[in-house]
Amino acid sequence: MTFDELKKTWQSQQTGFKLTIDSDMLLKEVKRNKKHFASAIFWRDVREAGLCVILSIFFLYVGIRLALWPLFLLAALILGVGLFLVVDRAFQKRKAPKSTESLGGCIEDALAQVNHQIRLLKSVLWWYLLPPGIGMTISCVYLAYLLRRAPTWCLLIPVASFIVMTIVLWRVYHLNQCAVRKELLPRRAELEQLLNALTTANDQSAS
Amino acid sequence: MSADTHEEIFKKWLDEHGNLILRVVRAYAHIGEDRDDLFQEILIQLWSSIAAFRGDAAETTWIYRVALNTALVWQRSQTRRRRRHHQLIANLNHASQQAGNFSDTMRDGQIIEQLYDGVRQLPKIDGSLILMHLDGLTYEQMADVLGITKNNVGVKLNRAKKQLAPLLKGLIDDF
Repeated sequence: MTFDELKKTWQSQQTGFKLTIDSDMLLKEVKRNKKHFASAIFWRDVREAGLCVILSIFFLYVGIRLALWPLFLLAALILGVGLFLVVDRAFQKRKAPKSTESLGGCIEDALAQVNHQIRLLKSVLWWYLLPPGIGMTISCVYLAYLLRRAPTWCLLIPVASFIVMTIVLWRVYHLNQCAVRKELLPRRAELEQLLNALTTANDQSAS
Repeated sequence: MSADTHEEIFKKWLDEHGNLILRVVRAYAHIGEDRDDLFQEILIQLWSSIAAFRGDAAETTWIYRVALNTALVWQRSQTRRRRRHHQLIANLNHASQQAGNFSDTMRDGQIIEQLYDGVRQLPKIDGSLILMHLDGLTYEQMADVLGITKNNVGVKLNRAKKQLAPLLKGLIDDF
C-alpha cells in the first residue's frame, strides 16, 4: 500500500464514520465544567488565603490575651504569606497559555508557567516556611524566657512546640521538593523537547 | 458577541468538526480516561476561543490549532479533576457506522487503528503533521496551525512519513 492509498483509506473511513454528537449536551457539560473549574480554583485560593487569615487572627488574639508580642510578629508574617499566595496566583492566571496563539507561543507560555512553579516550590523555604518558622521560633524563645523561673518541666512547652514545628516544616519542604523532582522537572523537559523540535525545524528552514 | 451567538457557533463547530476533535484526541490519548480528559479540555479551550475567532482563518484550521495546541501541551493529571462525562469517548472504539462490506470495514478499521498507534509513537509534532496530512490539509494550512514555515512543513512531513513507515509493519511500501 502506498501512502496515498493509506490516505484514501483514512479519509473514506472518516467520512463513513460519523459519530453522532449531542452538541446540546456537550455545551451544557462545557459550561458546567468551566463553572466547576473556576469555582474549584476560587475556593482553593480562598481556602489557602483564608487559613492564613484565620491563623493570623488566632495568633493576634492569643498575643493580645497573653501579652506575648512575638505572636503579633507571627500573625503579620503568616498574613504576608497569604497575601503573597493571592497576588502570585492572580498574576499567573493572566499568563496562562492560550490555545488560540501559535503552537510555539503556547508551549512557551506553558513552559514559563512550569518554570515559575519550579522556582516557587524550590524557594518554598524562603517565602512559605521560613516566615512562620521565624515567628514561631521567636515566640518559643520568648516563652522559654518568660518561663525561666518556672519549674523545669514547663520548658517542655516551648521546646516541644519548636520540635513539632520543625518536623512539620521539614515535611512540607520535603513534599514540595518531591513534587519538583517527580512532576515538574519531567514536565519541563517534555515541553523543552517539544519547543526544541519546533524551533529547530524553523531554524533549518530559515538556513 | 452575544451569548446565543457564542453557543450557536460552538454547537455548529461540534456538529461539523466533532470528528476532527475526536481524531486529535484519539491520536494523543491512548486510554479511555485520558481521552475523556483531553476531549473535555479541548472543548473548554474551543469554547473559550470563540471570542477570539475573527474569521481570518478557516474554521478547520482554527479548530485544528486549538485542538492540537491543547493536546500537545496537555498534561494527564492536570485535568483529571474536571472529568465528568465518559460515554461518548468510551464508545469511540466500538462505534462504526461505515457502510459497505463487513470484512472491508474490519480491515480498514485495523489499518486505521495501526495508523493511530504509529502516530502516537512519533514525536508529537511529527504526529500532528501526519494527522493533518491524512485529513487533507494543505501545507499552508499545516504551517498556519503549527506556526512554522511551509518549507519546513514539507521537510518535516517527509521525515515523519519515513519514521512512520516501519511503525506500520509493512503497511506502506512507497518509502
